[in-house]
Amino acid sequence: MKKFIMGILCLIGTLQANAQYHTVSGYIIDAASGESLIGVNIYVPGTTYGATTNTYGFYTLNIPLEKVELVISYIGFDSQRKELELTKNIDLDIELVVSSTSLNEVEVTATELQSQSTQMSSINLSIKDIKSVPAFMGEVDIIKTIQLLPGVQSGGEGTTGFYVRGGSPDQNLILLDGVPVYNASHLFGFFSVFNADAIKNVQLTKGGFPARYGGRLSSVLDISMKEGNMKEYHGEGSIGVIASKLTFEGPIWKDRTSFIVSGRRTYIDLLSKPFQPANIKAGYYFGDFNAKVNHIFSRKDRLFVSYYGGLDRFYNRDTYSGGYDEGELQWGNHTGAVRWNHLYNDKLFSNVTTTFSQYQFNIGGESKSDNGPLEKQQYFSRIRDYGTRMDFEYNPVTDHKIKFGASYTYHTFKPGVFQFQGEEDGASVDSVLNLSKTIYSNDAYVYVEDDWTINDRWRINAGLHYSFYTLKNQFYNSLQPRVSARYLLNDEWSLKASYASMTQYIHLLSNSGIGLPTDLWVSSTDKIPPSNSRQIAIGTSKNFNGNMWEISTEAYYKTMDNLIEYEEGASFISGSDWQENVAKSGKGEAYGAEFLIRKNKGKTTGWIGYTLAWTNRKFDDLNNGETFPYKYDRRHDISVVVSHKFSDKMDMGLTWVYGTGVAFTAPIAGYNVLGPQALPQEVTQYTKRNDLRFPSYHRIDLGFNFHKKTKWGKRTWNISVYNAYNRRNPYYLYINRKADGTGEVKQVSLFPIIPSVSYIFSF
Amino acid sequence: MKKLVLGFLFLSLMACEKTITFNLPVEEPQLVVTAKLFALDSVVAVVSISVPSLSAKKPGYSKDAKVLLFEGETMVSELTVIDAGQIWNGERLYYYTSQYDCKPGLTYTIKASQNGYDNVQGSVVIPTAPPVVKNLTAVERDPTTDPKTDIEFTIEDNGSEDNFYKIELQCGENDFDEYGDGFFTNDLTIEFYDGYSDFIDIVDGEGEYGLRGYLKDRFFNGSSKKIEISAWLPFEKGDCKIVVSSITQETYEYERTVSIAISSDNGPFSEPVSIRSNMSNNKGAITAHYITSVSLP
Repeated sequence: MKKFIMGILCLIGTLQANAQYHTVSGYIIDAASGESLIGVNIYVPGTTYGATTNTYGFYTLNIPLEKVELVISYIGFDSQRKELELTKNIDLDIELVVSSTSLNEVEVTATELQSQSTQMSSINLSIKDIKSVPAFMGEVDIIKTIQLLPGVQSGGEGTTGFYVRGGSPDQNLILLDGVPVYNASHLFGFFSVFNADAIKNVQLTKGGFPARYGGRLSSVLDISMKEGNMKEYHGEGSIGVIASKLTFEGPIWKDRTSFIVSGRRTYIDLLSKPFQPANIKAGYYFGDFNAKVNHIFSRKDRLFVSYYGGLDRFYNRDTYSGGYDEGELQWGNHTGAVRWNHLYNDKLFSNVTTTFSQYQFNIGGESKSDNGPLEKQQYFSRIRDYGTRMDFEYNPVTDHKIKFGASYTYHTFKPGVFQFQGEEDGASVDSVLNLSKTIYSNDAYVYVEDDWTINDRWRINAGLHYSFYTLKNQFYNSLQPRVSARYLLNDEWSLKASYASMTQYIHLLSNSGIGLPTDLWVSSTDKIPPSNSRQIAIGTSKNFNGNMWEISTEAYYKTMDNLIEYEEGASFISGSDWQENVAKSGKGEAYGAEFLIRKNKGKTTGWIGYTLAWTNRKFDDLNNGETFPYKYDRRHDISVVVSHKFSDKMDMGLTWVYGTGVAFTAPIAGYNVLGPQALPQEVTQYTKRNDLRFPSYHRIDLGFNFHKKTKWGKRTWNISVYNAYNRRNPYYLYINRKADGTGEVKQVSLFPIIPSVSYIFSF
Repeated sequence: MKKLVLGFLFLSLMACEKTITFNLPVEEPQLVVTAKLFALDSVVAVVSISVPSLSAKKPGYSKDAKVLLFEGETMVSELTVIDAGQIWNGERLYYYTSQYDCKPGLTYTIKASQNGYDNVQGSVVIPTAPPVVKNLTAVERDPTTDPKTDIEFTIEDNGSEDNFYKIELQCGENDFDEYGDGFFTNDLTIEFYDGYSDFIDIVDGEGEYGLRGYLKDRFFNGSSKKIEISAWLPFEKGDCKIVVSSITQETYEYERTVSIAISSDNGPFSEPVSIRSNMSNNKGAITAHYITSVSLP
């Protein structure tokens, strides 16, 4: 690794020759809280010299001029201008103040102007954006907001599974402070695991992946937790109809060390307790806990420690005279990260992260009767990762911004373990049946990328990502080229194109595709090779009217290979190794176009997104080997998101979504055949796989916030209405047999109109 | 308060169900033929009439079809309808049979017709040779502590490409009526597509189990494959036999998908199974089997 880093440095060191550059670098923070600000623009007007702060609020800028005026700009904050004499390198830390004019506006945080950046197929959402979207049962949700973006589709009514450009949910890398989160769903997907009060920033990348990202085929959802207020203590919380949450943050050592803790829990179980018979104890709850501490050792060193833990639990205990039956279903994630920022010099910034992530699903039961033995059964599956990653940002000259690094993860997969304890013939039996063998694997990559401003119009981001994956008796590797280019037509309008090759070594086996906890994370093996994708995208984006408006459109074409799916008829508890139950070597194709118009400033903000898309799959062992539409092959997807601020005391949000119905397979006939045992059997003839469509999906949600300043802080009443016109959207269809034996198609919908109210407070 | 909470829970968590008008594709009833051709032995078939999925009718068994067997282009037999004397799935069961000896390596076609329905047909090539089963042993463990029998044998592959074999352990006398004696093996190259039998003790290992095992040509190391089975035999050892069939790929695909469809039985999380067919209307199948049967020693 040392040689690799030195090699990179030597190679790019030559770029510095013959130039009298001086470097301006530093951190940009929110003056009120001390939180680092992500994506702040720092530039010299009228030149191509500019930079954007990274995830840790750090920027560096090389300028070959003696005297400059720097502009520091971030929507929602007052811009600053700094005049500098550049006779030497300068450390310049900046504190931005929340704009006083913005207090009357609902604003959206924009990072580097879309038209200027080489990055395409990417969108940034601040927590303000997310909280301006109407809540579902009083809970604002990061992933449900992501689903409103073009190119992203939801998995079904109210669920948090999401599908990006024809990919499946496991093809989305969800990172919380750099740590993969394997199951982002609570309550079978109706809520995500991310507590919005603990989150600072969300970035979704759908294509044109920079080389630093890898391991998934379709998207990267990078979620940054708040760091904690460095200046003073603050709290916020809410009391909703199904959950309450509380967040508390503040300095441990002013301007040096801060913390944030945040917790959330539902109370359906507590509310339902009084209504249950005495012999029954049943309930469900979920909860989350986020915590983060960060300490600034010096200007050059900073340490972050963060943790997330979440749990969903269904339980039922039925006590009867002489015994009891007990059942339990629970699942949850734990993630942890320790991150160390180090500034080697004003041109070289590094971040080292060590990570832990675990997702486990358990289903179990216990029964005991007077005369019988105690019997226990448990089934569980688990994935556990330990990892470390090093990321470097090196800015040798102003035209080149180089990032390079390496990552290593040790995975442990336990895709299915069944345990039985009981008594047989008077003897105690305690058996563990590993339905699938435990798999240990090593997953590593190195990358380098250069964001190169060639001239006033051309800018290119080119990189290489090399990954390898080892497990017992098997070695896979992959060299993945990535390139994005931007051509600036004028200051506000650009054309972009990108190509990205991606490889994914782990897979999710899913029967439902909606993020049920029963979905199994499994490794590539000697029988199951890694999946690959190649995506090209072209697009244009334009900012206008003082960056108040932004329009972008993109077209993409993506191919995927070595996909896996459960074989027809297979299920998660199959009694055999998962590898025997999957259809392998699948191919996928996705293409389409996305349109986004977004208003970033003013009393009314929001966006309209439209996606026109096709996606299909082909497996030798499915659908008679013929190509079939992917379940979430939706031709049209429209989302309208509007936020309006009437006054300091009142604002509202509205979303309307429309989507072509999801594809499904239906029975069309029944007949008798001779089965393998030469006995007659009745079987069902289905349509071709996913040949039919559910009725289309649409609904409107509304949310109103009423704010009031109080002696102790601020309180907000939030009134939300989900599915305001009570559209019965299809969750699934089935054939119901009437009394006369004829069938009729029934549609089951989950959510009618749902009003909710929550009380939000901050101090 | 109680009413309020209950009202809220009802409103927010209830599933809403309604009958909708949905244009499911409607398929007119069709003849469905499933025929099994046994090399140098008999032909047996069932003819069913399919029913649309919204129909109140159950698919029945036809006794009025004309089922013809062709060897190449030449008609060699008309199958005879037999009343099985049984009610299956609420309908009277009829078989069609022929004692015509289908010859290895030749192509046979079944053509079926019945008034009011479109004709259907399908073809299959009979495997050229039966499986060669050798070195069969069956050793009973201690009947008082571990009443299982360890069975071993080898299958010799005839060297041609793309052979598929079906392995069964049959006990009892009636081929059609024997109940599913399963077996258990640690040989992971054997594939099972249907459920295991109660006779199989699965707790003691990480092997494979099922009623019938399928073995593909590509699993052979060289030309010989040793099979090890442990089974809890429901009959005397002498009443049981190992039945190994050479089958065609279409037969394998058909039996595989039917087995999966039956065993998954519309499980709530199971994807629908499309049953492979080599018939002209994409329903049913004509399958070919060349059987070697060896009684346990």
